[in-house]
Amino acid sequence: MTTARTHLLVCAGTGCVSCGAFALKDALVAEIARRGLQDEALVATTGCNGFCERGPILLVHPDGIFYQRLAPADVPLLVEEHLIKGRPVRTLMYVPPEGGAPVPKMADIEFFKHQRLIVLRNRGRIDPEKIEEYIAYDGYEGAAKALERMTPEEIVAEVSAAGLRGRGGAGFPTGRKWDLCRRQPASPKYLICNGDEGDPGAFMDRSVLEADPHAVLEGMIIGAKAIGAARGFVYIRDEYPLAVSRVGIALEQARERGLLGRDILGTGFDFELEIVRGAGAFVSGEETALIASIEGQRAYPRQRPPYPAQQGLWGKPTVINNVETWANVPSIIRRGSAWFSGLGTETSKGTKIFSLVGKINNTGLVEVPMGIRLRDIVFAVGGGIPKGRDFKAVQIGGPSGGCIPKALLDLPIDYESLSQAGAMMGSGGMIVMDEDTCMVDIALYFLRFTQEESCGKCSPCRIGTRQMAEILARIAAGEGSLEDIRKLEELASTVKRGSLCGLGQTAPNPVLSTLRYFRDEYLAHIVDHTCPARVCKNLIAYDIDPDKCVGCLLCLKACPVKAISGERKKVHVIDQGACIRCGACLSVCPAKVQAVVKHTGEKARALGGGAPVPKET
Amino acid sequence: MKLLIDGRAIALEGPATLLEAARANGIDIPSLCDHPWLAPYAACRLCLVEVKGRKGCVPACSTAAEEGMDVMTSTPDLQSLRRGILELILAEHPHACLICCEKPSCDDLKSTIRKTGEVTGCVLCPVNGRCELQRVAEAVGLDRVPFPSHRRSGEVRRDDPFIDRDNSLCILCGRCVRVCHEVRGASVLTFVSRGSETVIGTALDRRLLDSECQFCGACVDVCPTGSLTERAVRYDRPAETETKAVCTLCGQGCGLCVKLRDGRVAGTSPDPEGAVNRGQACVKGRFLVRPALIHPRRLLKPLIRENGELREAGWEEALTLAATRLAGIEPGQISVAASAQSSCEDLFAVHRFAAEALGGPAVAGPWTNSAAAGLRDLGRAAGRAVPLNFRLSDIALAGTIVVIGEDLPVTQPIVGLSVHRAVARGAALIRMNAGEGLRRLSDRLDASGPVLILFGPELLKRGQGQARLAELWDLAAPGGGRLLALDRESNIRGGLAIAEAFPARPAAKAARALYIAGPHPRIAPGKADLVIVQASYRDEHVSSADIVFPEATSFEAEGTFVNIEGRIQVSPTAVAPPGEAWPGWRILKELAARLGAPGFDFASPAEVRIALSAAVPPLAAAAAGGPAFLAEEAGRPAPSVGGPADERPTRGRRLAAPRDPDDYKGLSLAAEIKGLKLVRGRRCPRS
Amino acid sequence: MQNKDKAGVVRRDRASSSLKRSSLSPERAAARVVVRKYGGRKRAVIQILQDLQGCFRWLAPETLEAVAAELKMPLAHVYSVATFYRSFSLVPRGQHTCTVCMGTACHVRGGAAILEHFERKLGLRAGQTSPDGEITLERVNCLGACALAPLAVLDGRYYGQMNETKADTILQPILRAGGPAQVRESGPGEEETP
Repeated sequence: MTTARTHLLVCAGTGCVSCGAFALKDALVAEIARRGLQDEALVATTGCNGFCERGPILLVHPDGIFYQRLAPADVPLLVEEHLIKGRPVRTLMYVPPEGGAPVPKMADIEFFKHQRLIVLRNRGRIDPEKIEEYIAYDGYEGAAKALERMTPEEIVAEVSAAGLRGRGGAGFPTGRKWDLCRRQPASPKYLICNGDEGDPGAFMDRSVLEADPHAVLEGMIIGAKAIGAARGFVYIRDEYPLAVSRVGIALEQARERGLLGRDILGTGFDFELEIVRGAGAFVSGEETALIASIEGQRAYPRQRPPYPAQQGLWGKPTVINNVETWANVPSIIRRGSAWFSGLGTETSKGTKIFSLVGKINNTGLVEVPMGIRLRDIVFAVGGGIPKGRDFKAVQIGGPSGGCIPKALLDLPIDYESLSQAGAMMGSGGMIVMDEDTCMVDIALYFLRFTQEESCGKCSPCRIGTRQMAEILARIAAGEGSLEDIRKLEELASTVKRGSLCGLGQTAPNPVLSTLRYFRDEYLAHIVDHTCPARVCKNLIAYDIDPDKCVGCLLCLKACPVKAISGERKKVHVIDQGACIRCGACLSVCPAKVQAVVKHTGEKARALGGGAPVPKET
Repeated sequence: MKLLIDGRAIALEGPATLLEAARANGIDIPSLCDHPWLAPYAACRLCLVEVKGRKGCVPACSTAAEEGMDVMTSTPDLQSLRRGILELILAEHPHACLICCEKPSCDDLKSTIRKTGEVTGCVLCPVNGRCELQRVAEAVGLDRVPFPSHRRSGEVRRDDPFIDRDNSLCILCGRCVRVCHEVRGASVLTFVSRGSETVIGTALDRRLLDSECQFCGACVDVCPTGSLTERAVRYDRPAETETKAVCTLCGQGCGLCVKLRDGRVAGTSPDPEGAVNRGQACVKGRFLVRPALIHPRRLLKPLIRENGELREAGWEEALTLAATRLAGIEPGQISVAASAQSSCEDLFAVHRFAAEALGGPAVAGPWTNSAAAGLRDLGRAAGRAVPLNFRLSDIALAGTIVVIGEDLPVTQPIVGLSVHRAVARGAALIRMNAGEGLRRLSDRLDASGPVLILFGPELLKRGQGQARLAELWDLAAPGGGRLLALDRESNIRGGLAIAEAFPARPAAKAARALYIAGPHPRIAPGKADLVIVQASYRDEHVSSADIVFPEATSFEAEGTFVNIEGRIQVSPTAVAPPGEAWPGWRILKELAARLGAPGFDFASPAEVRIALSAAVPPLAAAAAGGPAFLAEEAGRPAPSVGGPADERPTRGRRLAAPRDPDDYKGLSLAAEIKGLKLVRGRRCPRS
Repeated sequence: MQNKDKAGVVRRDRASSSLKRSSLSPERAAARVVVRKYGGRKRAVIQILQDLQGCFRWLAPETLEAVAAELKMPLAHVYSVATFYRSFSLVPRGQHTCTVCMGTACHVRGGAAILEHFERKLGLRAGQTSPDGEITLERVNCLGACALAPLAVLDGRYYGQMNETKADTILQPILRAGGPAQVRESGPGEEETP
């Protein structure tokens, strides 16, 4: 075994790869070879580090120096200064958004400092396509303990005592689900990993499957022993081909090592796993719909009870758990339930992974202990709102969730407090919104999403979400009335109580939540024909500030309907009658100039805008 | 089990859903997607109820009743929820009439006919007055729909025979898809696309004709709206009366509900309580009874040949002429043929007539070469009892089924459903052509489990038929299996039993007179001096006859029929016969009277049955009236004297081809009725 | 010896030689191979359709019929499944596929405007293919690369922080009939959709 004095770990998560991680790696390898350091410096790739905003990312060990936004052009300097002269390069390090000195070590960066890694414990330190690296970090020890020294009842008791709750959304106690299934007399029994992460804005499961698939496998082996299953399925969204590939490799390597298949670790226990790909249906994340999908059917949910733990796949007892839930299990078994339940709150134990996205400086994946305040996630971990804008709300729980406004920023993150506030833990997608986000538009966005993804089986969801979306579209277009709000609330009640599955039952949540906390915004649209966030096209007007315009012709050229007139070095003017409010002019106006502004309400109407957008020919 | 529904104590005998329990006790919970033939679907959400101790509401259709449950079906909350859901359903279903303020005076003011291209409200809808959605809306008490309407797109599909499809009226209850898949095993209709875009359709949106649809009509029967309708009766008013009758278009004997209006048959639908078919039918029983009864080829008056042409005559004239001419012919020179599509009463009358009035010629009939006869003779040849009776529904319990030479959806559709149920439960199904060698079969049959071998007249059509039957017996019997004879005519078993009771002399070699009571066998009429035909439809026999008596069909004359199971069923007079057609037994009674033959003093079908029961012991149960099966015969050797066994054709003579399964009393339905022509004319879709 | 069928897909020797021997259509032959790969299991119909779509780039009626025949399954069921899941296309797809992510993070960062821009530029609505078969424009509800919002994917390559200018740049070569341009250096097609 070679020992190098330095390890350079290149992040190869999706974000970094799209920014050129492999080119970076090749450049490093080449430069190191050129400088004759190949025996001293090892270059390896790892899974996602979570700080995707800053990719490509490089970690240099043993010091834990964190480099970000690297390009191949930076490599010669890096090798020269850091590897040869021992001087880490400050210009390539992370600088906090508010300014100040660069922070060299990963552990000191706010984004990482507050996190507590259980599921993501192998983040940035192993190559997911090398099982030996997973094993080197205590991998499969939990499975060995469960198979060799624990009974099914003991395993279930440990998971129950740990207080693990389903991380896919509803938060059902995992131990209770396993116990219900374990006690079923029917056989065979099945295990399913729900990797159909469909919540828009969420990519936790993707990361885990791509960066540390063995954690999920190991969890499922333990679960299989607990309930008495010999077969399991890992259901992965079709939109995650890399995850499918990584899990496939992990399965093969596990089989080669006797960790999957017959007589695992010589204990006589058989367990085999199979990958099943999703095919582009959000609803197949609902557990009974997922089962239907594996059975080769349309992903139609089924009435519960009976629950899958009693009658699931092909009518047999089946435990379905989310990726993150499975990935928690090995640590619980290895380190004990007392350790796990020491983290988090009274009712919500352990940690939760959130994808922190939207109007936030530090976009990425974070794993934090339950009970952490929302404020800390947004401002400490997340580094606050970019461009100095004002925080407005955080949307948690995807299309089933709701918005948490500024007033509730001190809310602790746990299942109960979130649902009391009208949101939902959901799978962990956390979308930060600022003053430029229109809450009516957000509600409309989610209803449209739900409408598109509704399976269509039951009438309240199929028809009700469409009616709700249409009402919201009218309000967003400035054609709403106060009666519409009452209708929305009534529809919400019908859809919530009448729908067959969780998709329909939670579809009204974004509307109810925004009505609860941002009712004034709805009223502004309806009564004042104003969109305070200046998003809804029919209620805004674009204008060029004559004092700031430098006459560069950029917006003129970008306008798709030629609504801007002007000459070089002369102030440009927007023809309000032709403007379709696409925002291209705002987008291309140079940052130093910022001459394009949006108006709403009276100001917009005075300009000649704030009216329905003209039809494009 | 005891539980509370709306405060009432309800006692249940066995397992039931809350919906079943409520309905059985007169508590109406509205539902649209539920149906007694289908597994619960829980999609329309109208049947939501509250159960104490359970969060939220549960659908009554798919929630099992449990001891001690406390169920509320109609709280104010539930009522408003139900109303809200119904409003949503109606937002996507034409409901102009529902919210119209002119409704009370509509019938008086309506001046145009209702046939329109687009349905905008109940009044313009083909099933107005017969619509389940209408009933639910009335029960819930809805008179407004506070949402913008959406019309499901697509034109009305009229490119198939019998069935129209109008997607704008569909409420996506899924019953049609489920009945087609779960019950019929055809899987022609399915859900297409997703969410609000969902529509019911066929694969690749093809015509039903191009999608292996058998046009059984089950989808039309379960559709709660006017989305799937029978085109012929689309705009008819609801029927006035309904009579339950036995279908006689094939050998299965399904129960049919015959709808009548203005004294005419308005249509037929399967009887949900039919002992044989339990609510299922086939294209013939479902759609072809009415066209058959009113077909232009129907014989309405007696006909007499004069100067080479057939002319109409009165009954008196025709009967007198027939009697006179028959009296002048030697008994040994008269051939009599009868049909296995005639009732037991009619067949009994023919046999008695031949015996008493014509001096005893044998009555030739298709039962001789039938599958049932083959099976019976198999037993007699071996001196043991071979059971002929069976219950169609028991086929569903078989572990292995072999079907030889029968295209079940065409010849025995309800048997086919039972086979499908068996296969769904895991049974093995082996299909073979009638001419195939049996060695392959014996290889394929498992040692385990009894095997059911279903065969029809095709098997016996070729030479060596009895030998092959014996081989099959040897394959099935040792393992406890059985052979089931599937004949195509409605009364082969009855015909066989009656023929046995009348020992007769052999048929005449050169007949000078032919009395043909039904088109069998295909006796070439050319040589005879006198041809008398008793028939319902004009066909080749009629065209060459000297005297023709118009006969009523089974729907127009009470009669007893014994189906392939051996089940004895009495079918009432559902509608008056057209013109001057008479029941067959009455014709023969009148003719016998004029010939001075005894034994014909019965004045009603019931009296015929009494005489029949006395003469034909296995049919004794027919007179009793209750549900019964033909008595099986104990094993006995073949009768030595006369009898139908001697009718068996000697070697060399060509056996009569099995009857065209779509023939009804001489009318070839597949040739004469356009819809069936299209259905049968398809290339065999099996790949 | 390699054999290209009408979709330009290279077949393995075994399939192509069996093609020569029999009179099976390419769809039927491919369906047979794929169904065999999944052990003829009816429940694998979705994966079978995915593999065949990867092969032919869409699911033609012949392909659906072939799957129904090989799996001994009613065509209505295959069709029902194929029309339910968004992954499947029952109309021919373009040589190139441009997918705009409409996830919440992308939406909040202006994803809707980006989609509109693509639609305008290509003269297509999302879900449509250009008449010359060059390019299909699609929208998808979240690809899980939210840090790159707003995101567009062109032929499997991810382009993050999309704006109108970048959109024009990456589309340019296609509009001139060529390959996708390099806006930023990307990895070796790792995100290629199957």
